[in-house]
Amino acid sequence: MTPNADDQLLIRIHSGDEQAFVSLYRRRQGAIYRFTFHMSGSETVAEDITQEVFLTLLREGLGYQADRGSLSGYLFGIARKLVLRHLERGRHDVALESGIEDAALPALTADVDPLRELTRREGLEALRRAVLALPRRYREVVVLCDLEEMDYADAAAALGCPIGTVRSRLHRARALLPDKLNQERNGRPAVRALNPARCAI
Amino acid sequence: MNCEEFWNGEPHGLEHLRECSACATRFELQEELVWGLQQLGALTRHLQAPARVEAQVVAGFRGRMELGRRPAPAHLWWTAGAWAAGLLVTAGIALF
Repeated sequence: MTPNADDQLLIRIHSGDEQAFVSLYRRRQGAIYRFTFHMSGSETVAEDITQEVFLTLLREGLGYQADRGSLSGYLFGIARKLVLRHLERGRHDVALESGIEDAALPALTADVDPLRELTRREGLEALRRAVLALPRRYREVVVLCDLEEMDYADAAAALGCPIGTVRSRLHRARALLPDKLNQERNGRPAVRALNPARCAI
Repeated sequence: MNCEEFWNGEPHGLEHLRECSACATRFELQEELVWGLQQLGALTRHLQAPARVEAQVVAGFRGRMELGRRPAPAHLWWTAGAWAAGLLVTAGIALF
């Protein structure tokens, strides 16, 4: 499907085509869910916001203008506003209800060293928490550009800011992350553990 | 080239890393962080909203479509009431 496929689906949705709505939902829900999960640290919040994003599209979809950006960017924009509202409400109550679930990790095979695998899991979990500890404007560029591998132009459209701002925030976020990571690991050497190939064990 | 120029992304900046061990260490740290973020992204890329969310939004869609098909009785009653009141007032003025 071409990028314009979203717009085609939206036209069909406005004429009452349920299948088009389901198709659009299935195309876009994963990225929206992961964005809200990484931003909030909560699966429950990610579920609620993903649902609200698509219900908002139904209510306010006519407000979307294709010449001002992609539908995907529009959906991210709604998700972002809802996440910000959530974060503002619970400023002192950042949820960390779950880590990376075991089911999310690749199964251990015979040639995997369990100690290294554990080190890797711990490293990644610490990194996830470090990302959550970043200030919101830096966290969102890390989530979009590093975790979701979105290009700068799309990230800028989603965040409603110039590409240069995305670049500079990403640069700043990466500079802040080592400190956040060290705080998460209580001063233990942190980043080395991320790459088992470089472990001295 | 100095450290600031290197971190501001000057072309051919990697030469600087041979001369400055502090920047080399910091650069290696950032490379590993980016690697870690890529791993984290890959590990969570399969995450999706559970099926119950799809059921909820599809129910929302159906509700909205149903609402669109139905006439708006309350709206019609208000319109009719407004017209009737207008006629009564007009008739009252004409009589007195």
